[in-house]
Amino acid sequence: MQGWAVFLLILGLALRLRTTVVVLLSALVAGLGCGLSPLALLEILGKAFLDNRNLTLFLLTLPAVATVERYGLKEWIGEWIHRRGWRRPAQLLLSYQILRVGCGALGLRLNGHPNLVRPLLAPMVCAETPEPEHEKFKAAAAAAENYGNFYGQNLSPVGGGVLMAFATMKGLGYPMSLWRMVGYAIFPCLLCLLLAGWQFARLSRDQDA
Amino acid sequence: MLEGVFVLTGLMLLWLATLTWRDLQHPRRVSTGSFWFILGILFGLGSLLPPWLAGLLVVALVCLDGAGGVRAGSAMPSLKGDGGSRLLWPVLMMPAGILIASLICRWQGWDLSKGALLGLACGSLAALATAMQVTGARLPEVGEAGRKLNDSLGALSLLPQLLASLGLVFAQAGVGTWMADWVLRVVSPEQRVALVVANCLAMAGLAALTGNSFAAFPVVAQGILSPLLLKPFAADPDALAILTLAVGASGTLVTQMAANFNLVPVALLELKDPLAVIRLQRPVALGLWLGQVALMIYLVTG
Repeated sequence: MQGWAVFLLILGLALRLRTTVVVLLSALVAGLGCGLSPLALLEILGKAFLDNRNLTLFLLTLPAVATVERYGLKEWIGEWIHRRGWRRPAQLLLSYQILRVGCGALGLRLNGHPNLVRPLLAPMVCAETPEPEHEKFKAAAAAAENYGNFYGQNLSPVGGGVLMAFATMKGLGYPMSLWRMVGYAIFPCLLCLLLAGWQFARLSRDQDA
Repeated sequence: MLEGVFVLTGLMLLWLATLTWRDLQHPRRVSTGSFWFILGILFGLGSLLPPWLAGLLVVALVCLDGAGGVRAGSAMPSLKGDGGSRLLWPVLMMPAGILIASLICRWQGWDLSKGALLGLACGSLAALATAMQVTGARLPEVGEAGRKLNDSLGALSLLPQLLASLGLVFAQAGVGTWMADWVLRVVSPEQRVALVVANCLAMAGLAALTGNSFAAFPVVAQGILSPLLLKPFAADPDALAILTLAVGASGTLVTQMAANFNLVPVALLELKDPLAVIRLQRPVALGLWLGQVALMIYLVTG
């Protein structure tokens, strides 16, 4: 029965069904399948949800973030990148990734592909490279966003992933520390900057040759 | 102390719910408002609700979302302000709050993790005040802007909380032991290196299959990480938990299932090769996976 619950979770998410529904159904199958009464299952669900309210505390930050965004924060970040005067594409891509890591560490959710990569980073990188190379460098701009986003968000002690892992491990009975977790998250983040820097430099070198 | 923060969040959600109910142009006015209202009740009155009722409300939230009842309202036009670098101040208040509260907790010997969350709440209030100061926006405008951003995240912002609940139900149902049994059919329980590799393969694989390293974590943590690595070898839970989570990103970087990250940009940037982004990310994802496996092996054997 436990296997069915895991299978359902994977299948549902792979089929792109609505995530919240898949997660709840998987919990129902696991709980009812191992012989919990519906009432006991509701109690576990309710208690777990209430105990983990701190995972959704970031909602408190939304009004302030939304207000500064409405008055042009993203536009300002864009202008700031533009004014830096980075010229070499590799430099530009890596600087963007570092900036993105910084935003993640500050707990900012940017959704950079439509907001920063398409209107800003991709045109800037293309301006410095010959036409046949554009496809490659545009893809690299999207990759820089993903690299910075994925590994930067683990650097905030109130980031969604860090808190979720913290809560899951606490539930399993481990004494966890948010700040120590963030400390270890620096390693993959730096490694990613290193590997990405190497990749971007190689792309630029291919272009020179 | 934290209870007060939850009540504050609850009040904010009730405010957003009222704004939604009053927005006559909203395509799903009643159900979207109800969603945020129920969530507000769960936050604000959580400690007074009997657990079964809270569970029922959670099921109601998921049903509302499952029926497509949670939608974003009409977009508010963004202003072409010349706010400049002053706009950064409110954003910096939040990490500043977290840092200051954590330092105070460290100094007083209180729980650092709770301190970070309290700091987030204080920082948010400071950010709100600064944002209103810097932009000159009034409370109704702030509420509307906050509601639009909240709507755009939608029910997905509940996901971490739902997944943590799923983890608890899985623990009760014995999913962890079931998975551990499977792994032990292939690997013997003393082979630390092989167990680390199995842990990271499972994490990256599940993240690639589901396009989501969040959902993969509770399964892997219960099935492999906790019973086969942390318990027998007394390894560092903070380090291994965050590294296991981060290994999931290697899977997310190479999968078409993570469409938002890997396929949407292909369309946005008008690339010819639909796999252009994934192709580029593959070697970096592999390098990261290997690097993190090596660090975890060192942590478990050292």
